Amino acid sequence: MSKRSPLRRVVTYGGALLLALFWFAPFVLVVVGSVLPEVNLVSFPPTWFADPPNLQTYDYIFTGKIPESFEQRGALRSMISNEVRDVPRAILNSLVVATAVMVINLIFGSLAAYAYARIRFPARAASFNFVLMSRLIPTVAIAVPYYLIVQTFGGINTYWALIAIYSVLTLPFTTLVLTLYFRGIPEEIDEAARVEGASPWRILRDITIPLALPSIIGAGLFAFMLAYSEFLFALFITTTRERRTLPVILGSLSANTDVTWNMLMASIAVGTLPTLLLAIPVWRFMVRGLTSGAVRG
Amino acid sequence: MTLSPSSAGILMAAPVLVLVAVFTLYPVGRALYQSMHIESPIFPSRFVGLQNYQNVLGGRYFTDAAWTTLRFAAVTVPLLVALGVLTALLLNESFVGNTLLRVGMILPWALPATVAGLIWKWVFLDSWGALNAGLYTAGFIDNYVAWLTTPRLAQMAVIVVFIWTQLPLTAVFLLAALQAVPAELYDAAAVDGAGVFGRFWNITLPGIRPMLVIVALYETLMAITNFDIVYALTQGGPGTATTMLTYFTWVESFKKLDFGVGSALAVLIALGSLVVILILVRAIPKGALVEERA
Amino acid sequence: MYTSTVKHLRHRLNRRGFVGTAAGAAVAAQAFLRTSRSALAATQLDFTIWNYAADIVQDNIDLFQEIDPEITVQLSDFGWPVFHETMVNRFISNTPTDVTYNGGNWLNEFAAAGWVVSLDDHFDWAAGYQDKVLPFAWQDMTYDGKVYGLPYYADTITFMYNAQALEDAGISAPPQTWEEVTEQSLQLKDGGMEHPFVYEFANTLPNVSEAFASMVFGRGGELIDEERNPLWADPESPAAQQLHWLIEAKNEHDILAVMDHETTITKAMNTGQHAFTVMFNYNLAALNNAATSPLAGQFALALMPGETHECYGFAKFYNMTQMAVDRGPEVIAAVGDFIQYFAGEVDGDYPVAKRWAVEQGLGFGQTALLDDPEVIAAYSAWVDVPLWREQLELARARRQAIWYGIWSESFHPLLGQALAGEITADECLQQSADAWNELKASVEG
Repeated sequence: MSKRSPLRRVVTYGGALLLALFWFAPFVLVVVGSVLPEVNLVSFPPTWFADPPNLQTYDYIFTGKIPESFEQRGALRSMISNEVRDVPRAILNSLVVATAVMVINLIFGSLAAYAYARIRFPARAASFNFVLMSRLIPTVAIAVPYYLIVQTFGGINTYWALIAIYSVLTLPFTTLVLTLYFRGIPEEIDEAARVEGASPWRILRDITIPLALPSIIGAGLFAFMLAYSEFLFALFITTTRERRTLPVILGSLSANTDVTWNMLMASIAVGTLPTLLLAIPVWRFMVRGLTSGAVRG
Repeated sequence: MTLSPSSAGILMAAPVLVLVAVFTLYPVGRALYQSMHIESPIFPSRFVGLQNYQNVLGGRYFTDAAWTTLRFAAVTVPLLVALGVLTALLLNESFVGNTLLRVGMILPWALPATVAGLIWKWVFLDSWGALNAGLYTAGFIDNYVAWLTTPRLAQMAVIVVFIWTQLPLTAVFLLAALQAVPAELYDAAAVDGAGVFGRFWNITLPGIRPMLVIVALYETLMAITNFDIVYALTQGGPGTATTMLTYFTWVESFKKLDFGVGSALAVLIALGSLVVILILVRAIPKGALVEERA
Repeated sequence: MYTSTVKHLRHRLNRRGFVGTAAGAAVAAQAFLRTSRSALAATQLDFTIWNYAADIVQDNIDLFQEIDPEITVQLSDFGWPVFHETMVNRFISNTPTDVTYNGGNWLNEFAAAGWVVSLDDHFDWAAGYQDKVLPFAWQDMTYDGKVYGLPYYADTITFMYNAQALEDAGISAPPQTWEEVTEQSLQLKDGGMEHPFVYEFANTLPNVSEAFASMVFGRGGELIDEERNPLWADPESPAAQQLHWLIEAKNEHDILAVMDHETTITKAMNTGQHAFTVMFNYNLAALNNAATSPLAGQFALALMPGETHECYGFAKFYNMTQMAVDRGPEVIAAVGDFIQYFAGEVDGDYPVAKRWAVEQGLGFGQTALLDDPEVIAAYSAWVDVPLWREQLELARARRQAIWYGIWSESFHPLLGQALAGEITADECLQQSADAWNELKASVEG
């Protein structure tokens, strides 16, 4: 690369600063909002920093210790929603569901992708297009029928119903992406193995998967993130507090009369933490894996 | 166990096919059936033929929502593509904090969209929102700005949040495309004396064009089916300023409990997205898409 | 359970030998039967509520279970804006629900669909409460001549104002009519208050049409006639006038700010940026709550502006479902116990309703609480009690229709459009009347 001109540096840093501000300022707000007393937050003209920050909201979420400002038993007191205490549990629910969806995607997505990439079989193109096109139907359109199917099989308020639905929603994309990768792997390698009598299963297991591993993990993580974030179906299918996923709990909190803004912000901060922890692996495998594959193809 | 390659292929694709088929054919069939009936938990069900479609297409709300959706897509998709290119170019430069920005930008995308809506709701809130507090403190305003209850501003707010959540992915994909453009091409162009813009126009842009198309396609779909952000941020308001088709469908189905009209809407949206996608796919130069090369 | 008991007994019999162990076996069997019986008899009730102080509800449930350990209550709470459709979904899909919060605006719909059942049909004690409940509350819980529940709370939607702000602006008394609300607002606006009137409105908020009804009642009006025809299509009607007032306040005078929820309004009023609002009356308690409200003490009740000062009164109540009935007599009995504990007379008192009144400022339907010293003492902290009683006397329930809840979903966006200036007040009135008539026609044929 050529030497950077000063102008180029100014533009680069200016742009980077703007981007960082746009992307990260809301998160800073969440963290700041979560430690300030609500009375200060909801002021105009703003008096955000009139009182010192504290961690009482977090304390309440994890230990149930009621913050001082709410502690006025028997008399009129500000309402507090114990729903925020469901946030840790909701994260767990989301993680369980998302992990299962990821595993299903890894296994069945790889299998299907290999078939579509390498094997000739009847209705191959038609079924491939069908799988892809299935995602063109807006989820709102099929929400009611999905609900009825799930209900028929007794799946209301179960993990498996969510896992099944999210798998349906993610598998087409996973299959597409992995098919593209697998096609990018030189066919001669397969051919050599086939000549030696290896079955498609073995080729997939011993050659294709190891070669495409970063991309496969990337596709799996993509499915994971989608399952972790899905809202509409989770809203319908989970009917008890014990089973609700994170987006549902937070969505419900936003409409909850009892919740205060600092409590809401603390819940968001806690709920964002797993995503934050996942950001690095997602970057490593998904972003790099996905993009390198797509471009190389 | 020996299988013919063909049966092995069918077997391998079967789990995905069966799952997708069950969860697609039945719901679609059911949606089609419902769309031709009065389907409501409180009114008796009966066959009405295409009346639901007539009501939907004849009503003002559908056309309003359709226009709002198209306008939204028409604004956000080009914006996302343009900003995505700029961001990708920026991230392709070396500067202190580049990696931090790259990894950190995953967050807005990976966050549940309802949560994104919630965070930004506080930013845009009228009487004590963070943006108003900031503008007031900085001396720009004396009274709060009613971001979410003024139609134009609320539409803008939805666009901002949508871009916030979608730009990371767009940028990542375009960055990857950018990095795949052979460096020799740039060197050659530099020898030929091409300027920054010349190189961008003649080398970068053609180089990333396939990815531009993919990104535009993907974001068009995302824009047309955007629901969570509207749900969390504006609930379609003020008035119907941010009521897009999916939100409208949700209201018809789950708020007004008119599953017949809701299904008719859903069928129309599905057909509409199909048309949009086909037009876009047609617009792609032959061979630009990765799949066609394999 | 039974098989394992039998196996266990056989085992014991074999070990002890046959003779002389019959007595021991009988005792053991009885012990087993008792435990298994009580395990069976612990009736589980699924109870659904909308989110409001769910921690207090759970606490009340715990207290109830201490008294009645044979019954366990599983609580599920849902957002107020999504409560209607959530419940409809649960009913359609037969998701276990035995008792639910309900309101007059949804009662007709739920009862006509056969999802909820009348107390009169199942409990002798139900009718006896008519004399012990405020008339408007009783009316709101009644459908087709039968009562469907006892009040979780019964309240009014009232006019509230910031007395300090009015005093500072040199306004001596709160407005008596909506014209005065405009005048005073304009005066406050001259003094720098941008939007003196805050209006609680969101497309998804279930109580929009209730608050609107209350303002119309202040003018002495109603929304529908006895044949359930819409009255607001007539431009001279109080309802039409009130709608015009709202739209003009927003778009002509620019004195009205729209906010999506009572909690938002409570906070916004406490920034001192607003002086008037119309909300569920209990919000005045929150406005004047020193623990969370910086301007606590400045807020007061005024009679609903308008010629008659009437206001909308309602009851939200505990309603038994058809699903509970289908589960059999034991469940019905358990629901009866539950409703009686939560809203009925317990040892001459109404512990749960009273707790809501004292701790949260919720209104109540149980007449006995009107003179309860604890309630009066608690209310005195946030409202002028004689004035509140005066407004309560003027409260009335509204006429209902099966499609009220569904019609609201058409009305809200129309009102929202009118507020946003997309359509005129007259278009809003006409189109929402059309929507009403369409629903009426599809139900009544």
